[in-house]
Amino acid sequence: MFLEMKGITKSFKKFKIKDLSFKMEKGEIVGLVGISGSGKTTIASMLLKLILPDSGSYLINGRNALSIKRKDFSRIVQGIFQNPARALNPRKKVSFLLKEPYLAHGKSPDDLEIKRLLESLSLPKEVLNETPNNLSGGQLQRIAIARALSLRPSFLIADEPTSALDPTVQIQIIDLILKLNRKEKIGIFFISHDLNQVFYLSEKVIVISEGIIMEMGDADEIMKNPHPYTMYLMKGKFSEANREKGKCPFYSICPLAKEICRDSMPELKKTGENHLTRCHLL
Amino acid sequence: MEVLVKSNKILHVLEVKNLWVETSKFPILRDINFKSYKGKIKVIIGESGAGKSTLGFFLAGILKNELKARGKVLLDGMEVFPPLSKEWKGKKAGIIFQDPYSFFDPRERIFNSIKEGLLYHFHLKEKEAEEITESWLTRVKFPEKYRRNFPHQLSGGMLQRASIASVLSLNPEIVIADEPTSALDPPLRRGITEIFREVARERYIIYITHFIDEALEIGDDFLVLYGGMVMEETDINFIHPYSKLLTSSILKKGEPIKPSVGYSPHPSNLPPGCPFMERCELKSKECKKIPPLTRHGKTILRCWNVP
Repeated sequence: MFLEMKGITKSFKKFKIKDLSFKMEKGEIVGLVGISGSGKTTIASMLLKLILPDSGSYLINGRNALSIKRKDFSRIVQGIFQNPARALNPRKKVSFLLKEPYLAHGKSPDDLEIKRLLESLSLPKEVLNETPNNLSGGQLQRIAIARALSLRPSFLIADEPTSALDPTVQIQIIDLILKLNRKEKIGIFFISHDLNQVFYLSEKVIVISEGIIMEMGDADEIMKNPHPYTMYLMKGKFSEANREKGKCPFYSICPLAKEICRDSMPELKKTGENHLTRCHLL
Repeated sequence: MEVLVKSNKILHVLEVKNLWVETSKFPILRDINFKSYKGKIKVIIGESGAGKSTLGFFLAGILKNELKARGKVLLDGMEVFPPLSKEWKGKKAGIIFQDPYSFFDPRERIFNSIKEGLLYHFHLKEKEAEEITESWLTRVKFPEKYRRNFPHQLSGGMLQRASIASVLSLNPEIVIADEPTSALDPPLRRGITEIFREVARERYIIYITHFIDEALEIGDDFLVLYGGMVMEETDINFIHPYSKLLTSSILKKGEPIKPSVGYSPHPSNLPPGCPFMERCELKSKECKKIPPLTRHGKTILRCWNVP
């Protein structure tokens, strides 16, 4: 099974996703990085069909994902977000919250299934009688993951799932995501500000700026030969733009920029075996 | 002003002694002791519920009314507790928050907000306040063309720079930064930490963060809190099992993850004895009693079992 976006565009008042194309196989972990406002959450929302693209195609196994009914779609693709407390009804007990996805799909979960879920996420069974406000951020994120996984989806879109958590709990969630990926062969689309986490987890990485893919490919290849923008994300310090905006989204800050970067948008070119880069100078 | 003198050298020290902060039902901070030196960045690390922000708010003089504090604070050897006066807030100690949007009045232009702060605290002419505002915005590399913008017209990173300029414009001796980079992306984070490095020389900087990599990069020395207690006060040489757990949360490609067990406790629900006992690899029978703070070389430690 695979998930594919082809030439996706989406326009907002001040921001645009342009010609977004990538493919992700079931069982893969793909990371997405970029500065704030680069379009990461917009992409996650489109993958989850929470917002719809203006043009381009979104395919699951070659089939138009936009034509798949919501109920069927939610059995294939699920999402988790930065703030798990917002995703959980504060008045309901965890026991209900875990059963809710099954009930929504006309199933009645047996206790064994719930027990299996709790065990796979290292949650004690005592949490079943609690409401979300009595649980920690890490426990809430595990419950959000449990709900997302209860329908056994093929893909999990994780939009900054660790950024609101303590460092020790972040590691617990990363460990959990890795185990789920290995055991259940779930494809994970992992979005984070933390490049260290993204490169640790992901086999493939997509780097985005102003809604445009600047670089994508094998995580190891990107690490060895990063785009100047990826380098900026890894090690750079914010500085005021050196120059006016150009056609290349990174032109105004790029230390290597030349006239050509101002005047024309570079194409995504092959710069390694599994590595595409959008830069005139590489 | 009385200052501490050691081997003919004046030591500028901010010292907190036996500080307790409590609600009517339970303590949030328990017997906090530490020293911070002028010109050095003291980083406070710990998980949620450890009391980091409460300690920061206390030092900034903005503790909630319902919380009661007792203990001693000495600044350059002089007792200043409780730090609650108008003179203290802003002029002596300034605080920078995680969310810069809550720092500014949304109806006021950034430049004017900073200027108003100066006019409120000092007897300055309008022109002088404007000059000071300009100079601080320049120092934190806040672009000129955005200085007359409203907060909502600025990005989080830009606004955080402005809030730092606003706090520093009052020239406080103590600057408390409560997770100032949490909402920012990595280049912006590095830009903000660079500013703190630059302004640290003449000040006491108390820097609270939950980013361990950032803490290790910016900190001169560290205070590790857990369950409202000091677990360790040290330079870079961490030896407490909890500090080691925190510092091991930096992922290294190719190395397996060692996830910790359990979560940090809520201050209302602390176990008896050492609060870290349940999660500790070194736990023993002795941990049922709270260990005292003891000195191990340069490190001050609360643990029965570290040799």
